[in-house]
Amino acid sequence: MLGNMQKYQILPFTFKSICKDKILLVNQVGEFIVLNFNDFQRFKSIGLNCNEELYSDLKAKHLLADTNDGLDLAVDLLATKLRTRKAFLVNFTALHMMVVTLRCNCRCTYCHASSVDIHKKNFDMTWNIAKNTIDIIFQTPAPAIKIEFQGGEPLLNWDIIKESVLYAEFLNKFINKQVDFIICTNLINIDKDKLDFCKKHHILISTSLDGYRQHHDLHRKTVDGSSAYGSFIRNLKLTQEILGVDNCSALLTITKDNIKDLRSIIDHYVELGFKSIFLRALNPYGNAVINYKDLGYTINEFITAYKDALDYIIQLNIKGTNFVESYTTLLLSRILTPFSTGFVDLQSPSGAGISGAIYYYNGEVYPADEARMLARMGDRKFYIGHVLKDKYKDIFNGSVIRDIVYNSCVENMPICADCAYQQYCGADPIRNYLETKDIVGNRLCSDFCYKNENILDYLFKLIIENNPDVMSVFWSWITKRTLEEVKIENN
Amino acid sequence: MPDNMMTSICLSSLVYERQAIVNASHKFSEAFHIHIDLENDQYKITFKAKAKGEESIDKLQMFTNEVLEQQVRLDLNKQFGNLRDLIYQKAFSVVEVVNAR
Repeated sequence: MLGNMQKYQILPFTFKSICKDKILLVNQVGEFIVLNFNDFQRFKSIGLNCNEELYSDLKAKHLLADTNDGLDLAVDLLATKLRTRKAFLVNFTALHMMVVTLRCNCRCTYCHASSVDIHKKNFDMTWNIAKNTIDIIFQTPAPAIKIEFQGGEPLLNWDIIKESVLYAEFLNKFINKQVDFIICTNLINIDKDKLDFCKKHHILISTSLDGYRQHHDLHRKTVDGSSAYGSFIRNLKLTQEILGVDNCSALLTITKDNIKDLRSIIDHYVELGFKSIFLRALNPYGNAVINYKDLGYTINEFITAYKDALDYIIQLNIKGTNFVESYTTLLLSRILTPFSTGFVDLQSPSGAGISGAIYYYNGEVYPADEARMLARMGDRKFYIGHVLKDKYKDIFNGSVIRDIVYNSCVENMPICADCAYQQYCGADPIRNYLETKDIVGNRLCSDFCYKNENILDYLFKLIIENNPDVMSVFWSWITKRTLEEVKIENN
Repeated sequence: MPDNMMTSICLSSLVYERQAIVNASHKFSEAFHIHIDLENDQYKITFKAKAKGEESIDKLQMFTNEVLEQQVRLDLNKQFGNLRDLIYQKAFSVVEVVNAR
């Protein structure tokens, strides 16, 4: 393939026009460089000289290799880096979500989980199912696992949570994995006894907060008519006192009623002691679909709000408040570091089943939270097995998981295969199926694709601008250090 | 582009590969019904807008640039496609762990 006169070998990359007259080149392991149009032309037509600075830059970024003796080494290095970037595949399956009940003490207008009446105890997970679920979970090869208790409102089936934690800890005496526990709760039913148990067993709390009282109570309706916000604030204080502020985080659901107030909502998160926020768009599942007219917004409205909120959070950090936007941090880690980041919703192949699995109250297993929501809406396409009827291998090595893996590698999916953001992005086959009835999906009409491309465009704009204050904030998020620590190191 | 109006673009098959035309056409398939034909060393790509309006004309003007970009991708892939496959093969090959002792 190489002509005798060829000075260098171009290594695999994807590219896109970005900003004005700039071309972003990203290699197979996510390393990038930005070139002007003329340099790009010279590079691709083998017109660079080995003594110019650009040549060295491209070589350092593994976008070209010397043809004499550098090619084998470059291929080996890229293979090693790619292996590191795909390390999440080795940790099969890290996140295990147990839906311990479908009962809930709220009737949220956007509820994804399609919860049921608080008195319908036949929608609780039984001990037999919980025990078999944990037996299955501990057969996963991943050395570090997270067991996340979900609902409905999981605290309504507290005894099963408690027994599950104790049984998992007992099993782990013989298996020796790193095990973390998380409870996803609206905090209404939390109390001192439960929190003492959480503290003793190092259980983290993941909760939800939609903003101030007017935001939170608007869509989070309690079944007894009391203010969900009132209970939240009261019990958050108790939770933070017992567990510490770092062991309780909150998720924000953005609707058309709070999308224009993100700045003040971020202030509220800071006031309440939260260290981070995850700016996520409303997902098309459960009640969110039924009530979309009253809740939804266009994807462009979301992107505009995201950018404004991100700018605001960056400025907060620069002014001295350490506060993280979690989705941005995930993307920046992929752009600026060589490490593997295991985020189920954004992996290639998809994290469904590989990185996460969900165990329904009745023992059914699904590869992702969205898959069980789809099942609740009547479509069981992604059902992968049952904890009482199937063995671990049958559940996780069946045709559904194989089909998902085979059809969710962005490296060979239409449009994604050529996308410069391929290494930072991922596939969401379940959402694809929901929107197009095809797990490969269609990127041309996908909000998921449009959102990620626009967010990555914006992050690259900021990276190219290279403002030292902004970049220090980004590095403080990626490295989980304070801005002061990052600045001291840079100086 | 008025409703039901069809527009055709002709591109030389000596300059562009079939794959570049198909890839570019796919990217425009959300806005247009597209038919591709080959006549005397020329690809004839016929577009029929799915919706009325000037927006379709604007989009169509970007088609030839998209074909060009797709051809650049194909040309580059000829240079490094085998290396990409080799890197994936090596990255996912079984590693022999050497005992340091």
